[in-house]
Amino acid sequence: MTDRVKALRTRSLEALPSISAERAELMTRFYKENDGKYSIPVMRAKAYYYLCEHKTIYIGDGELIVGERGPEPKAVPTFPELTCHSLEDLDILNTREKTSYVVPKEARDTYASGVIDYWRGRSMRDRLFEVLPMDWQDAYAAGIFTEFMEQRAPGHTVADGKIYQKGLIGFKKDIAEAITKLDYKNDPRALDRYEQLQAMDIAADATILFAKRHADKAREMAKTASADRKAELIRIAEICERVPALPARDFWEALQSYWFCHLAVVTELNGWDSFSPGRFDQHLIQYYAPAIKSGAIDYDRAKELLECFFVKFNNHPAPPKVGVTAAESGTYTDFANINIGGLTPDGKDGVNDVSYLLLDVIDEMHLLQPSNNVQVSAQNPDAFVKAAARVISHGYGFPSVFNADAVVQELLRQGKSLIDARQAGTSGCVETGVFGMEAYILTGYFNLPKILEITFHNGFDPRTGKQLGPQTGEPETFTTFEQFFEAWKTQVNHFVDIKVKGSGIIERMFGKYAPAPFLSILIDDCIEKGLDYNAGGARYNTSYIQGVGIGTITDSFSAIKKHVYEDKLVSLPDLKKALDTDFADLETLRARLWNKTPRYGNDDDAADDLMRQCFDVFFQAVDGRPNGRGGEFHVDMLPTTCHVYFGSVMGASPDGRRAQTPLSEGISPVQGADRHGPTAVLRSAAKMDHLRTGGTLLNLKFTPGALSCEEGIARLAQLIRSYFRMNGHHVQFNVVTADLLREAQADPEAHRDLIVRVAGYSDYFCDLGLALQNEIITRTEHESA
Amino acid sequence: MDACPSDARKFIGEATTVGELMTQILKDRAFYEESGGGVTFSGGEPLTHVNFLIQMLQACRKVEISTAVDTCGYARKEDVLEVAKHADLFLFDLKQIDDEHHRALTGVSNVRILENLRALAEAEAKVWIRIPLIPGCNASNEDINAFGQFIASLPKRYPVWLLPYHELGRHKHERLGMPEAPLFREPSHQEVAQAAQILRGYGLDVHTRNPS
Repeated sequence: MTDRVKALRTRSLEALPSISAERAELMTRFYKENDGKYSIPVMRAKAYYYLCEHKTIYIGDGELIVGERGPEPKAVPTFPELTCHSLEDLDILNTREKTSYVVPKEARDTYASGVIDYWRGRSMRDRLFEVLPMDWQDAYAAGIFTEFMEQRAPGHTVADGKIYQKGLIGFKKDIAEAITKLDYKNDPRALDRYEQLQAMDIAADATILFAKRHADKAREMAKTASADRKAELIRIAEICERVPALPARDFWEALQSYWFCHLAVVTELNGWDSFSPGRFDQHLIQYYAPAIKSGAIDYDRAKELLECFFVKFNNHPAPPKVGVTAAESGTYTDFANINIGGLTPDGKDGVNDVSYLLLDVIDEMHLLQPSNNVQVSAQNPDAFVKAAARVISHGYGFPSVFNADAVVQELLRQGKSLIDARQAGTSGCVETGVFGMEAYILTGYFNLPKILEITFHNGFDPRTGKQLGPQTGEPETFTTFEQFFEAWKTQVNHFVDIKVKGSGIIERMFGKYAPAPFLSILIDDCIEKGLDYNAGGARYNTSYIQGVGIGTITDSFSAIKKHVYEDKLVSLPDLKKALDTDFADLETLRARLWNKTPRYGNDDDAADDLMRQCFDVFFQAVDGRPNGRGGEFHVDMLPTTCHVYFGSVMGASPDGRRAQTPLSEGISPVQGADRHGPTAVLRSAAKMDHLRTGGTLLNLKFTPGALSCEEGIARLAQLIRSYFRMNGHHVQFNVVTADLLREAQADPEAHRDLIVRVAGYSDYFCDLGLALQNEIITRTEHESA
Repeated sequence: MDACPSDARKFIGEATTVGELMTQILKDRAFYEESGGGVTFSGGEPLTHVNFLIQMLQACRKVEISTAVDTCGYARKEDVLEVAKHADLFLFDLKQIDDEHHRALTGVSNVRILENLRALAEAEAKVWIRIPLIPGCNASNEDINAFGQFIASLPKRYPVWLLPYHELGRHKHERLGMPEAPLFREPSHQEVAQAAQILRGYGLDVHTRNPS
């Protein structure tokens, strides 16, 4: 690590996340002056142009890659046109213990003196809650599901390699051509398309302007800079004049070009999962390889540039969320995710020198962001898998590991073409999508165990006191296990119906009122179709519902099957009473349910068959349903931090879990339920049909001792290959001891840099809420066998 | 045992059949195939159940799962040689070359053990020799040289693993309700390295696992 990178890294780590009201102020001002003058897409593009024209330009000391989202590192802009924070919200953000954001007085004053007033009734969130049906709102409030788009834009997509060769000027040409092709005579929507394409053109100009303003600033700073820095600033100015308008000519320009596009996407809207450069090693190798050969760049310089690039991601905490959305994703991580390895478009080994370079960068930087992962195919060499295993063994939770071959099959099943499927990867936590051409939008988490509680109460929710579901029968009426399971199935379908209906409304709202003209430029086939990314312009338009708690629901049904219907230890009504009182005075019963139930995660078909049944219920309820953007709904199985929130809104469960405690996370077994080692966990997990999902998330935990030597690394690599042979989608590794975590709990200051794997992303252990910390500790630790 | 709801008491060990055990073994087949691993039959002393052991070895060979037998070598020669026909590898323990010393430590003579090892070498079986290195019992220079001499004299060259004594098994004494076990100490890194060097002096291929 060069001194420059050390300094940039330290500055990034030390900066406190804060709110900047600059964007809110500019946006409000522009809307006040111009609302009503333009079509909605053009209005959005012009507002974005206004931002690019007026927002603060920041170039930090020693930076080689420039451009910030806010006025300075870790200053996060707000998006009042989507969700306008109240003064109470700002105060909560400023003072809450976890994931807090400093709210400077000026920011609060800006909000108090006009922002809040203007956006009341105008923000997307306000509009949404006006039109969403009551059954949706009740289920949402009860914690049956969450809603991603009640505070943030859809997002959920990743860049491909077009920008490097095309430049935004190249895209402008495509836009102009699409405009000439509009058929006003026969296409009733030709005028809408024209407005959309015009908006994209304006957005391209806005981003080019934003980049050029950096050139101006760099030249200004060069006037008073030291000799060395002056030369750098002049080069930076040159680069910012050129990209992203024109194609990148070298490695440095490629990085900067992507970065300006990234900033554009996250300035225009606050889409989920930020934005990602995709299969970065495959995009960068065409710049790296010739430069190394000619001597224009060497390994160290390329590493330095990449490390400067990485710091930029770390300067971007997630836009602040409040309420349920904060609880479901309680982290600063914004989920930009870099893919390494995998397949080339013609299906061959995609690993190259930049792949190993990126692994070195990850290993050296130990930053929270960007997230990063390796895509492992049978085509990729063992050396690559082992190199990744070595980084994993250092214990920061990175990189996570994905099955590139399974990803291709998942997308083929969804109807994508083979060439497109190979250009896919995973982003966010574990979600699968085709980079550069798919809008694979996650709509929210789905609380499978909570629905069991609803079933126990004949469709009634004891916590909110409302009848949320149909009356499927009181516990006394279920004489067989199958009948009770059917009742749960009926309830699941009922709530999926509600969720899907609500999503239809939300999609249309975003499509109409909050288009993303800049993002639409980068994602095929928006220009060709003249349609916005949020309105179905992409080649593939997918919606996802994320299933949470498969471990808990499986073990719950296993307990009911065995103890109620087979051994007749307790009747279903008595079990319901026990759950309602959180096992008051019934510790023996609870211990029995907890210890004497066949549990998922132990390679025991008695439990694992039930897991499959539960999965199938969820899958059949969701998969293949049409969405409003010309695509379909599919499932994925990941929680982020929602397993903690979802557990908190329900009582005890039949597997002996106590009231309000977290559910199982991802597709991992219930914390502590696996007693037969990691191979048994992997075998249980592999019994789920991963290829029918759009991503699954499995956490495994090892102590440092298990992986400390080459033999341990080799074993880790083999474990990964074995799981992927069984079509597992993803696995990630936590390599810390439970003792160390307890130490960190007791003394957070001494363990500030302790990063652990949460669920599809890593986070600082000390930033996690207490419930989540404890949950991670109880996740099973596998001693080296 | 089933009566205890919290699983606080349990049996260690259960009766099983070849079929049941094979079902368990086959569960992890995907992992063995990837890693080149297999099944190790250990104990106790697996050669006290020769018939069952041979059936298991045959069953594994039939499905191409590789096998190893971890033994102290104190068994009938015929049994050892019979097992050698069906196992892919022996992990053979050597505790002490001097017979009197061996009796004092284990209660039995080592003559049979050494003969069995020699017979395996003559039959060209695949063997890894394992020496638990315990200061005070078998770790003196004299002891190590005796090991070196004996192993070098075998008709087939076998690799040697030096396994330094560790304390991890102490809790088993408590759980078994046994009286306080005699105290040994863990050898130092230098002691292990020195022993390895002496053995290598006999032309042997020596592997060490350092005390953790």
